[in-house]
Amino acid sequence: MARKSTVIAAFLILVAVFLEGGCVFSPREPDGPPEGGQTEWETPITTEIVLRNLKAAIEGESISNYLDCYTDDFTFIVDPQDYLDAGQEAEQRYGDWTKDVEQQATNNIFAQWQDIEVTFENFEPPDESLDETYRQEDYVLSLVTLGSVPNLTVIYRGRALLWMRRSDTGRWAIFRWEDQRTESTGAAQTWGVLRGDSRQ
Amino acid sequence: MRFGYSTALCLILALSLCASLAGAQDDDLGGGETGSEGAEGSGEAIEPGSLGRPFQNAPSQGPSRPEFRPTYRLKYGHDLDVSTWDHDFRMDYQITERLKLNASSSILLKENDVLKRMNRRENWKAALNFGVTSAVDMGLRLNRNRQIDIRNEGKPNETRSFRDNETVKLTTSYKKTHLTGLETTLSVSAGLEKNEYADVRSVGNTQSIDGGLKFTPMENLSADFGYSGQHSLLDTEQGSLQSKDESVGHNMRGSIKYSWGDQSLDFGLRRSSSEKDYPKLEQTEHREQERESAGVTGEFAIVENLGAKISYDYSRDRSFYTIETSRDSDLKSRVVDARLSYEVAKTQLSVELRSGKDRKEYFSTQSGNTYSKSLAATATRSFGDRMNATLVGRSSLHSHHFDDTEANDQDRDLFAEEVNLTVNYNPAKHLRATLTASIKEDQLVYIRTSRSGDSKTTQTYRVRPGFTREFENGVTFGQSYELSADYTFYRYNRDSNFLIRNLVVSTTVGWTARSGLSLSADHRYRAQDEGSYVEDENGVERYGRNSERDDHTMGLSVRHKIADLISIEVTQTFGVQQKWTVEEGVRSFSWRRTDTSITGRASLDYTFEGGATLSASISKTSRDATRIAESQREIWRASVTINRTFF
Repeated sequence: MARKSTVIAAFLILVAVFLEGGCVFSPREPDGPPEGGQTEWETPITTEIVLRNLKAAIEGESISNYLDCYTDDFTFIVDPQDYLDAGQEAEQRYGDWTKDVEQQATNNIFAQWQDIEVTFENFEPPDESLDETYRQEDYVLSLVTLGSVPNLTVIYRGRALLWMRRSDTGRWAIFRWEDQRTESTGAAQTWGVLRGDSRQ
Repeated sequence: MRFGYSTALCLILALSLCASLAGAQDDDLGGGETGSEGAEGSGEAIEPGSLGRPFQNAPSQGPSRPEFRPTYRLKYGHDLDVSTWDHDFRMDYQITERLKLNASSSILLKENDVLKRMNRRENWKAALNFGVTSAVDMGLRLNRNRQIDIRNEGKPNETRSFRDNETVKLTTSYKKTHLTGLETTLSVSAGLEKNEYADVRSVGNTQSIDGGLKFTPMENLSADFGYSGQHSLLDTEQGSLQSKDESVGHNMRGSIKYSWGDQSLDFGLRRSSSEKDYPKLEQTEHREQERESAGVTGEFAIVENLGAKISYDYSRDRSFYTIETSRDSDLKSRVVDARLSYEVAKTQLSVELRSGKDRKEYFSTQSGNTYSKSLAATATRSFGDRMNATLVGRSSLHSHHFDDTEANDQDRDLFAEEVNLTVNYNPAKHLRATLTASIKEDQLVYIRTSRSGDSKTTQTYRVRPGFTREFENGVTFGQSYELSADYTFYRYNRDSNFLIRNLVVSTTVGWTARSGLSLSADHRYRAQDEGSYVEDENGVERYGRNSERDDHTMGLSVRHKIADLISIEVTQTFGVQQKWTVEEGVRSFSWRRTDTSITGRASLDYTFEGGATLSASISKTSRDATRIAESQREIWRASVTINRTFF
């Protein structure tokens, strides 16, 4: 009986530790007060704000804000022609695209490019009366190379079919990105090709 | 290439011969365990003369009864200007006792009327399996995959992408379990492969071998070891590039499991390496990959009702490229997981501690370490037969440390904590009540000063009581209420702090009028407001509403099953949503949206006298909403499946 009481007491202490918080693990302190500005971020209570946050996160190279624009079960679907054109590398480049893969690919984009700019132009507005909706956006992504070939600007164009979901507390986030080539894509490649190039 | 073919064919023939002899020896010794064996009485399934020698260990079942089982399924859907046709055909044909044919084809067609785009995906498979003996199988396998995507079909700017892959393989496999507890498996295959995509064409041969040994000397000890290898040699053309692309892969695995009483130990080890050549930008890319992993798991019963589980896992994954060297990577991971569980009276307690380290080397500024730690505790207790409660607490820390802090300022920690409580209470036979409550906090801290302005904390509080009451006349009534608040606090810029508040009331009424007929109605009301949560001039945090919205959704549905054959379901929903903006305390109306939909679905399941089955369903949803794309939108879904066995 004494042993049972001991175990229960130990458990209750553990729960108390949780409730107290910060005693078991604690995050590091920042090096100091911010020297740079804050990356623009609004609480995503509309799908329009999600896109504004996405744009600000990409241009400000803020990976954490960028990932907050996606749900944990996020998946990316490349344009079928980009998939087929990748031949034997197709699965390796575009298969099983999860949020972790998105994080890794985007980290590489941030590491290999600079002066990133993106514009979205709405092609089809969303219906936000539902808890799940979609919007179609024509995008233009402009990046400048870092490293061996400096100051070379590369443009990626296409259309994104963005499926978004509203959380229980009312925050919108993207759970599925279907990439499409468009008539105006021309010689430019899609964002999907850049993602595939940046995946490791 | 010829060398590859002849080697593979010799291997198959040699293996078949060895396996057949092995089977015959087993018969002589009486050591075989895998099914009935014996040469006599098996003549009907195979013509001895046709294979050159009688097989001594062929199965000796009675006369074969050929069976032909075809199944065809068709699915059709139309939504958002996209039509989808999905044809699926499968057949199993047991030609004789030993000879079996399996075939399948799958064709998926997608047409987008607006984008004038057509996508077609085909998969064709056929396999002829011949049971040489109860231990030896031989087979011939054909596989074809084809994908086509056409945009702007029939127009001057039409673009077409495709991919075609065809393989044909001869396989031989051997499987035997001996009385000593030793199980051996071995299979080899050889075949041809053809690929075509973009401006690339390749053709060549492939071989593979797979072997395994499983040894179970006693009930509580088993060991499993295996090896598989693949090789292919393809003649490839891409534009002016002509090359011989070789791919080789080796995989080894081993595991040992030992248990005693309520305790057990598992060891596992895997290693694989591969080299692959393939065309890329009119050059030959050469990729080398090496993967290794090891793990050990122990489960221990320390004392009565107190158990522990400890595991350690390690893995390493390396990739190197000749052309695209920026994709080179070396990833290492190790995880330790410990779990303690205790059961006393009607209470179960468990605590789990997890610690991991990932080392990632990308040969770029992304190289670094990620440390993960988590601690979780769960307590479940029953209070008599009518009430039980579960309390869960979790705490975790993910810490990203990059090597080059000058070039990469993304060092950050994510600290998360949460406590969840669930209580189920049944005060009376037909009354159930639930209560869930949770508190969650996510703290994001950027370490470098150039990023630390983005450091923030989110806190979520939620409580949800509800009940369900069943009445004796088949009526069920349920209601739940949910209140939540979602705060965002910035570490340095408190003017950006934000709050979202929600109230949700859900009501459900159901009535089973009689067997096969039921009706239900549900309603959901949600009110949400959001705004700044900032300090006033006195330093007191106050909430300033920016906008409000509420929505009502109501659904009605009827389900009816006629003569246990046809099911009919009709569901109708109505929704209305309104939004107001609040500026300087003045509330002004922004917009109002409505949404109505009706869905009708009918399905049929019928079995014919001869044993054939037919399943069919059709549904149509009509929607009318404020949004143009949803105005008078129609969604069609239909499917038919026919299945029959011929004797």
